[in-house]
Parts: sequence; structure tokens; C-alpha cells
Amino acid sequence: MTRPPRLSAWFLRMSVAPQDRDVVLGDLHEEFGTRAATGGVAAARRWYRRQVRRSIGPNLRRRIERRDRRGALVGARPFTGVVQDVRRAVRALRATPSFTVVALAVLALGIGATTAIYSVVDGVALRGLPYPEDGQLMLLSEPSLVSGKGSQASAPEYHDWRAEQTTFDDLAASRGAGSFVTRDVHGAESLRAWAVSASLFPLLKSVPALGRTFTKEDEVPGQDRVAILSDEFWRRHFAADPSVVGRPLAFEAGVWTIVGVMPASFMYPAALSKPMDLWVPYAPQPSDFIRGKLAARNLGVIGRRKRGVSIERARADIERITASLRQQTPTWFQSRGVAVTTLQDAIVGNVKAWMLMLLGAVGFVLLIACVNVANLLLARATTRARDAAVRSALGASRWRIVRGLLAESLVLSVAGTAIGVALAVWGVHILRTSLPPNLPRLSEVAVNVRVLVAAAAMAVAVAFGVTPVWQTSSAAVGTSLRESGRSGGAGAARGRARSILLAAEVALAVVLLVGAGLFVSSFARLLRIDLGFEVSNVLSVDLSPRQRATDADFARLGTTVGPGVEAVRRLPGVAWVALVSGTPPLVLGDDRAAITLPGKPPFDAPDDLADEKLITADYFQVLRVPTLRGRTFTDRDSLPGAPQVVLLNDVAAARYFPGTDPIGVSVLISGVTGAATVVGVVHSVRLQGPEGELRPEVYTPLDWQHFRGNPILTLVLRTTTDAGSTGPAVRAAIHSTAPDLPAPVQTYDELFGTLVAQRRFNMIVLALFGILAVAIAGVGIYGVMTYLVEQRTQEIGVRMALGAEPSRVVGMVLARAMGMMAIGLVLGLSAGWLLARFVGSFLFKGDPHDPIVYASAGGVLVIAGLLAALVPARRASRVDPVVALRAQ
Amino acid sequence: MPTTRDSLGEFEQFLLLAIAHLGDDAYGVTIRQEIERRTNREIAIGALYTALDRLERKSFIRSRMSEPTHERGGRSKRYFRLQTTGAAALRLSRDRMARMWEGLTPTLRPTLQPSEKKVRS
Repeated sequence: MTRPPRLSAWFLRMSVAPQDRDVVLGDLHEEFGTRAATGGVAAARRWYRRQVRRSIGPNLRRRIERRDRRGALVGARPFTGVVQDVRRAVRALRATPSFTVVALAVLALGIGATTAIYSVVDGVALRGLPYPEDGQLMLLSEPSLVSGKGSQASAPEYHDWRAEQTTFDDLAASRGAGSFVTRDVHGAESLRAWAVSASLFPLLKSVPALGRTFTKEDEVPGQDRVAILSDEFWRRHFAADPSVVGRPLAFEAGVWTIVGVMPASFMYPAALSKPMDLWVPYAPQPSDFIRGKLAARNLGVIGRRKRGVSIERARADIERITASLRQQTPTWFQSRGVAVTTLQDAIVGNVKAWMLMLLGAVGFVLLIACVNVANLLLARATTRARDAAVRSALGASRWRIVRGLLAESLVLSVAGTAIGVALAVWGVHILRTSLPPNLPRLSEVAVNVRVLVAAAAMAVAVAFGVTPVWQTSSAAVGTSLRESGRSGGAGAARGRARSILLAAEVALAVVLLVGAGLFVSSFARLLRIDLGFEVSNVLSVDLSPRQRATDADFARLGTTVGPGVEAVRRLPGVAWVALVSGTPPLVLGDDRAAITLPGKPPFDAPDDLADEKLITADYFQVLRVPTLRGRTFTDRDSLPGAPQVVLLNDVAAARYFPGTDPIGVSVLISGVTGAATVVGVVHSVRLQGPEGELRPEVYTPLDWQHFRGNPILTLVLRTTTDAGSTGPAVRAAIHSTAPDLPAPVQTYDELFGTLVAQRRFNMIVLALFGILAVAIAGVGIYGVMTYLVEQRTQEIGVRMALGAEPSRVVGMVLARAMGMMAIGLVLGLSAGWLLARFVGSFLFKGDPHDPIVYASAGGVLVIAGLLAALVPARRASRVDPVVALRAQ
Repeated sequence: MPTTRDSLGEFEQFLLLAIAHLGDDAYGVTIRQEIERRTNREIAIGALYTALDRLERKSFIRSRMSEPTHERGGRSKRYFRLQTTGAAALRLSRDRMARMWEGLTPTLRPTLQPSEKKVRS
């Protein structure tokens, strides 16, 4: 169904009086419908927008008219004066359109930027999780001792923790449920499903909108084909049909029964950028709880702390249980620790500081905008002072005059906020698409009531902050009547105030420019890092079987995927093809092995473990990793029964064979039976991306026809043309023989982009802020210099009459501008220097006190400032001495 | 004695006439379309209601709300009806106009009275 343009409708709704809202919107809605049906949707939308644009003015006028009439009926009310003030303010602002436009633009940009960033920060980091008493929710995990990363735990731990803990109401486990593919008339759709234990819903204190949640019986393998729908999925697929409970839901994998629907507010996991479509029971096999050889940590385990139990006690409780388990099966817990944190911290802990940094930066933009508007208002006060003095002489109280000034600021800031919020709505759309897609809770980011309240508070604060109230001191009123426009007296004081504000503006702009410079140079450094392989024109296809893969699934890989891979090899535009088992480069994960040299203890310290990959012969051609010594693998090395061989990278060679040649030496690799001979040394690869370290790596040949073991299998290929455009053909080739494999395709450019997304975002945002700051400061400098030149017209006239060259006049004005900027520059650079340590942790291997950055920030501002001052300076040089002198 | 308060602007006349034409079916959409069809002028919905409000305040028209309907997204209509005072005001406007036009041809030349013709010739 076609709907009228939403933003336009919103504007209309905002502008029209509440009692007319229904009728006006209804009329437009109705006619939009008939127009869309006869003349097409696009034309109807254009018409709708035009209607709204032309209606906002009359609507607002009508509201004011009505209000005035009501006021007139009731007679003199305590606030009639305020209405008068506001009307006078609006009239005064309309009388000086150029001032009003500049002030509004500056305010709208500042408030828009702040509102947009605040929306993001609020949605991601400040708002609590959407569960009752969310502070009691804890995440229990087993992070890797090597990387410190990992927020998941294993099934046996979940089982034992839950049985033995005494400090939690209950624990719950969940994990990805693999792909659920539905087919209907619209084609196939892959649904996002999450497998959760029955304890999860009561633990979160969440009740379904329809039906029931899971019970213990649903957790039994074989009886677990039941599902709970999300509100969104229920509306999308079942048109919000309330009789959906009990109905079957058919997937490619079988038929599930719908037992419930969650309310729209429910979301789990909380940190997803795209919410789940449905939840199914987590139904572990009894064998899942045995601590065997493969230590899979793939469960998200949460608990609700009992009331009155501190975080420390809960942590000690879990640590105690884990310690005794560790004694029973030490190998299972090798290189794994235990962590108990609040769920909120686990989700947003490491982005919170980042978010607050963004908020701080945008705060500077707002501050600059305010200082600028205050400066503009001050310039205006020159003309308004006489007006105020006359009113005061006629008996207006000082409060009344202050109120008039406040009204003007308020009208400006309210209008600025309104435009700013509209800008923010649009800005948030852009931010959402340019933010790293893996940012937690990204889907919750929006301009909502909380944000609007903050914006309104901002409007009021700005209004009071920028009002030049001190202008109305009784002495100032007296002098401005006597002054009659000549310079000196209060006029000179105003000039000083303006210079101070200008210096503040310059200082703030320099701080932002320094920030922008730091982030831009940091990002440039990041891009210059040598990854050890070539990212462009490489495509990866995840061939790993579904989560619930059985041994049979693995056994079938050779026959199902094999021909598909051969087909990929023959595709046009594909240069090299290889398979890799173990996490491929730029994908997070660690498959590490301990290397043992003959007659020595194994290198099994966390730092000495080698990243291990099983690869086919052309792997290094695909990634263009140079061979340093010896040879790489051939197809023959992968054949069953071939002599076992291994490749090292240069870091591994230096670590394990300091000062000796590794080629030809036999080593033992943990997890591999029998010794393998080192046949070559290859260049190191930064597996974790540009910010990762160079670590020891070992490669062994992949006999993928008889592939078992590590469940991660990836096809990598180098294309001769753009890798992204080859993707669909590659996927089709894989699907021709293995149709049920999800086989997601990603280019390495995309992978790299995701890795650097946060830094790229920071750089863009800070650079934008810097540009905004320079532009606003430029406006400020232009305004002040214009004012000064006007004030000194007479003096300049005299100088010209006495024979001063126009170029000297230009120089004089520019020197004055430089003088004023100099104070701001010094202040800004020092403030930047002090504040830089707060952003140091967000920079990539950067010195937050890089002198080049500070020098260029200062340079950019000086150039911008001089350009802004050049216009009034040239105007001054064209002053006609005769006219200037006669004007007095 | 008619005062300036009762005189109607062109747009107001358009509105009253459109309501008169439409009879029982006069509400925002139809009024707008009626004026647009006859005068080829696109009216902004905001301006329309501002003027209609003014006319209702002068008791030239009266309005009532209808039940909400589906094709309007569940919103109700506001129907307008011409009152006798409104009809009188319309007639008065037309009469005043007619008097102003009296003695002019459509090309704005004075029409000569037969007696004057004689004098000239």
C-alpha cells in the first residue's frame, strides 16, 4: 500500500493545530490516494509535498490567530506580555533577514549535529537494556587467555554453573540457531533465528503477547520443533493474525509449531543491529555436556543476580565452581578464563568511551555555534541599544527589556532547534548507514522522545546562554542615548566583548581541527600498514556446513562441494582458487597449535602458539603472499599417504629456529599425528587486520576431499576483475552441487572495510566537525571584521586622505584580524594539547601530540580567517575619503 | 446597512460558491477540487482551512464532523454547509461587483448611453 511521504506528513502534523489535525491530514490522505491511483505514486507524492510546503505558513498563522483571539476573549492575562514579546521578537528578526538567516543556519547546524550524535550515543550506550531490572543481568563467559576476547561459554560449563551456583535466580543459555529458510509465493527467505533455553524468558521477566514461552519439555531433543515469533515477523508474515498460535510453520528443514508471539518491545539478544525473527528452544543432547576433546564455546550464558547479591559475590561464586571443574579436566580449560560482567557492560562497555568521545566532540561544535550566535547578537545590540534606551526612558522596566532580548534569543533557538531536529532526523539516517554495522544496538538508534527532550533543553539553554543581558545595565542604557552612534564608550566595550568571543570561537575551532587532524592522520597510518597480502580482488566463500552439522555432513563435503569448487575454477575472471580450513585472514577467531622441535619442550606459552591453517596448493597465489625460502605446497602434498610437510612464516621461523635454518627439520604440531618436515618459509600475514600483531603461523596441506576436523572451511579466490561482481556466479556454481549450503560470499575489500569501519567513521565525523567549525569561525571573523571596519570608516578615510595606499589599509585590517586570532590560536592549541590525551586511545599508533597536526590545524585556521577578513579589508581599502569624512 | 465586515474577498467568494455548488458533499477535498477545476488554481490545504475558519466565524457557513472512514486512514471529514447569511453575503458581493461593472464593456470601455450618442453625433 502506498503511503504519503512520511517526513512531509510529520511536518504537516506538527504545524497544524491539534483540533484540525484529523481533518487536514485526512483530506490530504484521501486525495493522495486518488491521485496515486490515477496519476502514479511519484506524482502524488510530489503533489503532497507541494501541498505541505505551501500549507505550513497558513497553518502556523492560523494557530497564532486563534491563540490571539482566545487571549483577547479572556482579557489581560499574565502571559499576554510574553506573546507580545515573542511577536515583537519575530518582527525584529524578520526585519534583519541576513542576520537571522546566518544565526539560524549556524544554530541549526550546531544543534542538528549534536542531536544526531546524541541520538546515536543515547541509543547505543546510555539507554538501559530493554528488560525489567536490567542492572541485575550478568553475562557469564570464558574469554580466551591469549586474546582476552570471547563472550561465550561452553555447554558443560552452563550445565554445571547452573546446577551449583547459589547467587543467581537462574541462568539461561542461547546461541544462533542456524538458517531457517521459508519458501512462499515471494520466494525463499532466510530467517534470523536464535535458540534459547526455557529459562531465558522468565529470567528476562518477559512475557509473550500471545501464547506461551518455552517449557522444560520443549528442551528435549525430538520435541523441540516449536517456535516463538517476533512481533515484526508476526505482522510481516501473518498480518498480525491473533489465531496464529498452534499453527505449523514450514521450513526447508521441517515443520515447527508456533507456540507464542513476543511483544514488539522484546528483543534478544539485545545487542543486534538486526533483530531476530523467531526463537526456538535450545535443546542440547546429553553428549553436549561431556567435556571431550573439542572445546566449543558457542553459548551466550546470562544470569539474573539475586537481589542483594553484589557483582563481586556473584563473580566469586562462578569462579569457585570453575576452579573446581578446572581441577577435574585441566585440558578442557586450557587457555580459557572465566568472566562475570553486567550484561550492559558486556554489550556496550567497550564502545561507551568511544560514544562519549563523540559526544564531547560534537559538544564543541555546539559551543562554537553558540559563541557565534552570541557574537552576532552582540553586533545587533549596537543598533538595538538605542531602541532599548528609548523604551527604558518611556518607562519600560529593565526586566521587560531583558525579557525582550530573551524572547529574541528564544525565538532564534527554538526555530534553530526545529530546523536542527529536522536535520538530525536526516543525519541519523546517514549515521546509521555509515556506522560500523557490528555496532551493538545500532537498530535502536533513532530520534525519539528522549532525544527531543534533550534538544528542547538545549534550545532553552542556548537561548539563555547567548543573550547579551549585560548590555542592559542601566549605565549602558544611559550612554547609548548620549552616544548617538559614535564610537567609544559602551560601543568600545562591545567591541572588546566581540573580540573576546571571537578569540573563544577561534580557540574552539582550533581544538576541533586538531581533533580532525589527529583522526585523519591516524586513519592514513592505518591504511599504510602492510597486511602481508593483497586485499583487492579477493573473494571468500564460507563453505562451513550448518551449525548442527553431523559427521555425515562433513563426509559429504568432498562429493557435494568438490564439483562446485571445480566449477568455480573454470569460471571466467577467476585466476586462482584455494581452500583454507581454520579461520581465514581478517576473520576473527583463533585456531592455534603448539609446535615442538625435536628434543625440546613444546612452544605452548600463549604468545608462542602458532596460528594454524590447513590450505590447498594455490593459497599463497590467491592472497599474493611472497615465499621467502624453500617451496610452497603442491597438489601432491595433499594426497593421502604423502610425506607430511609444513610451512612456517618468517615470525615462526625466527621464534622457533633462532639463528638456524628451519628447512628440512621435522617438527611436531599439536593435533597432528606424526612429524612434519618444514619445506618453506613464507611472508607473515596480519591475520587480525592492520591493528593485529605479526604472530607465528604454520600451514599444513589440506586434504579436503577427506576433510573432517575443523568445522570452518573457506573458499578463497583471486579474480582478474572486480571481485564483488564475480560473487553471484561463484555462489551459483557452489549451489549447483551443494544447494543446501548457505555459502555466504564476501569480498576481502568488504572484510577490510568492516575492520576499519569504526576508525573510518571517527575520521569522517571529526573531519566534518572540523570543517563545520572552520566555516562557523570564518563567519564569525567576517562579521567582527566588517563591524570593526564600519566603526573605523572615519579613521580609514583620514588615513587615505593623508595618502595611505589601499594595500596598507588591507594590511592593517588583516593584521588586526591576525592579532585577534592569535589569542584564540594560542588558547586553542594549548587546549587541544591538553584534551588530546582523551582521544589518544582512539588513535591508531598515533602520537596525540604530533606537532605536524597542530601546525596544520593552526595553519588551516589562519588561512580561513584571513580569507574571511579579506572581504571587509578590501571594502575598507575602497573607502572614499571624502564620503567617509562628510558622513560624520 | 452592509459594512466592510461583510464584504468578501475573491478567495472567500470562491469558497462559498464551491460549497453552494457541492451541496451535501462539501468538505476539504471536494471544495479544493471544485475550485481547482473551475479556476485552474491550486489551493494549499492550509490556506483553505484558514479561510473556511474565518467564514465560519462570520457565520456564513457551518461545519460538522463525520464518522472516520478507511480511505482517509481512519480520520474523519469536516463537512461545510452554506448559511443564509453566507448566501446573502454572496449575493451582496455579486451585486456590488455588477454595479461596479455597470456602464463598462468587457474590454473596459464605457458603454455609451443612447442619449449621449445623440449629443455627440
